[in-house]
Amino acid sequence: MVLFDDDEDNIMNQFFEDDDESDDDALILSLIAIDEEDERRKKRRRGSVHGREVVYRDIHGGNLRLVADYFADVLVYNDKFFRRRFRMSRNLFLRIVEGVEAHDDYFRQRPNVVGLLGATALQKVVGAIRIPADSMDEVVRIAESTMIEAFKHFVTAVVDVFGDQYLRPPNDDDIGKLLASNERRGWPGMLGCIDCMHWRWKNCPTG
Amino acid sequence: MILEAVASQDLWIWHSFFGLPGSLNDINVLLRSPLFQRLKSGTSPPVEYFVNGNKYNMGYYLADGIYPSWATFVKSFRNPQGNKKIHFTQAQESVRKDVERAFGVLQSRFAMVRGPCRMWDKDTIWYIMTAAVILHNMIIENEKGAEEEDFDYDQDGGEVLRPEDYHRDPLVLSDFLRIHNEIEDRTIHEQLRDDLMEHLWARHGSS
Repeated sequence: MVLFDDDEDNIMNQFFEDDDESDDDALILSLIAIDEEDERRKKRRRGSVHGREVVYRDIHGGNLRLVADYFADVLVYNDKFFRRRFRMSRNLFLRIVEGVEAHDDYFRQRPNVVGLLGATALQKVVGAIRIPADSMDEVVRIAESTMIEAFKHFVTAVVDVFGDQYLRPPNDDDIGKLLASNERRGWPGMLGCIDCMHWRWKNCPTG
Repeated sequence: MILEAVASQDLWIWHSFFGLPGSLNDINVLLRSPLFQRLKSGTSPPVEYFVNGNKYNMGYYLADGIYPSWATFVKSFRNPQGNKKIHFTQAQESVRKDVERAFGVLQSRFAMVRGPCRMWDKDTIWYIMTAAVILHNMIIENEKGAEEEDFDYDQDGGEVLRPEDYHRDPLVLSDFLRIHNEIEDRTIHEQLRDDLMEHLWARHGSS
């Protein structure tokens, strides 16, 4: 009997302890749920929207084709085409892609909320450089809005990564070379030519 | 929107200043431009050269007629009279077109510069334009033949670019004013122009 009682006590104790813990767990879970709800409300993009149109544009097919066209070992379009379309050589282009990808995490190929991988850095940079965005959708398979987003990231990254190297005031060495080269042309002391270019800002805020 | 730029013979853009509204003319842009900031703060590399026996200590830029008559600009004659002046004007204009060529290349290279800008935000436009100039310079470096004299562009300028983010170093006021007056000195401007004219004429005669 004594033994039985003891046992019962133990079971009761265990039951109470269990109950306590599960109570706590429930509280924590509900707090987390509330937090998540808040977080979800704060986010501008909140996943699936009822009635929203989805375009299955085969992002990965776009990437594969891009690689096969311009960057594979056996190319569809050779260097001549590349230069005509991108206005630069392939190795420079790849250097830029590498630079911006290392600088801005946006360019990495990232999964979306349901785990599907998005566009690669290659697609985003190609889209950004050859900007008329809607027509590039057919080639690189990124939506226009994504491409404009990529474009903004791209120009910022280019300025941040390459700016201090490729747009800097001339130092002593440069000035020496500039002066020497201009002296040979008959202009001792000349540093360069200055002018202004006017550029239209279509959406300039007025009023 | 106006882009002010300084270009050298290889179309490398050494200085770009962007962000002022297009209703300003080139002079107003210049007065707000940080172009001579380093010269005024006394931190630019020293330049010294002789033209026609006279010594000068500030480099100059070739400019078109609208620019002010400062010692740092060389303009052509508006109505050249006599062979010397005609020769000088032709020589000046044939070299000054470097900067116009640079603009042409910049515009034809990037669709993002060619059309009117559709962005709404001024800082984004600054980034677009600066990125275009940087890419332009990268392409120039990349495509430069080995036979040409090349600048060592890989040096770090040490100044990171930001829109509108330039400050004047506090300098002894008298020094600042002295350099300021030297830059805007009209007599030196005219003397330099005459000396260059003689220099070019002598060169023309000997060749």
